[in-house]
Amino acid sequence: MNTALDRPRCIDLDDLACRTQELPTLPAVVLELLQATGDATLNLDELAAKIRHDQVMTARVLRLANSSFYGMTGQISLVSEAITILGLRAVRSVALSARLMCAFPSQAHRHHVAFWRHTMGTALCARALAHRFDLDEDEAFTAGLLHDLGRLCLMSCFPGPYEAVMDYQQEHDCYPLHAERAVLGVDHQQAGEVLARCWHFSASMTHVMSKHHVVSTSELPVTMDLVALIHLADNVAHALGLSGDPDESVPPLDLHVWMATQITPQDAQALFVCVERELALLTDALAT
Amino acid sequence: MTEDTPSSATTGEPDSAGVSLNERQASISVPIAAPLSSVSQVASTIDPVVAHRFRHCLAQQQLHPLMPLVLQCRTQGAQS
Repeated sequence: MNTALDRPRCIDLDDLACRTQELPTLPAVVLELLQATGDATLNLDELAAKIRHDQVMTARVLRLANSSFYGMTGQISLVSEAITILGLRAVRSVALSARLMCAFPSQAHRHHVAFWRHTMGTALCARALAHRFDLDEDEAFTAGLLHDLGRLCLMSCFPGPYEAVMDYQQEHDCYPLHAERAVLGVDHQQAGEVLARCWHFSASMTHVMSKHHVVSTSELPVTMDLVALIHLADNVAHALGLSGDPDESVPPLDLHVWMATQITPQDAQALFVCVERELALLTDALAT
Repeated sequence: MTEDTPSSATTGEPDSAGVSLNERQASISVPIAAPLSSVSQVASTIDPVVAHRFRHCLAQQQLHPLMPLVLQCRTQGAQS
């Protein structure tokens, strides 16, 4: 455990921006898939061509298509066939998740598995909720996948200090955001914003990465935009304990956002069951 | 201030006024007046893992609107 005396010095945003520049760039195929988010004209052949050129994506997509859930075990050998079975949206989700996971080394932090389970759970939840609020489902999934990348950025750029953050969180039983601010002086939302700008993410994704814990309530009633959606999806993912971390804690939910959702208990039950089932399938397909 | 009894707060059953917590969630926008220790105890009895997940909100005298929904889901899952 780190004490106040041996706690690392705070990081400023200039340090963070410099270190972020040193991170490996995302593979071109990830950027292409991110840029194609919400592109209604993306067709089966184009998506299959992008995925076919990437071994990791191809392997994970074929594994999912051949899982017993779809009843086609061992019969699917082409990405185009997998798209027919799974649908464009699911294939794109699996491919993007697989490649993003590879972009950050698993040994960078001790909660690697829990991090990605939470991230994918949030993405699936966001996608399920997007339809309800007439938002783009692909964009919602991608935003869920990216929302906490600021944490990975901090873990990768400052592995030692981030260990101290996790020790602090455990010692004080507090939210990660509070531990980051206490130990590093910056939090994963700020890191997310720096990373998003460095990697030239869209303005909407940058906004999600930098604001998902603090939804602006200057205008009431709250409009369910992408940030509000991810705020809610993040809460649901924590509430369901999707990360698998026994000490997971649910962050505060903006009650104006909650009121805007008007979710009934029946809706919630259906959402929970759907997200947990889809997460089981996705994590199985992505297991290394 | 919204008042919650432990039974309605955790089971979704109607309270003495015939209103369940689920129906009243939308009106909860301030810390609740019921003894949260009771809510916490009942939640822990139903599902200690779920209650543990909401420990920070309970410690801050806040009833998280997702807590009864998750508890209900877990209870129904256990029964089915």
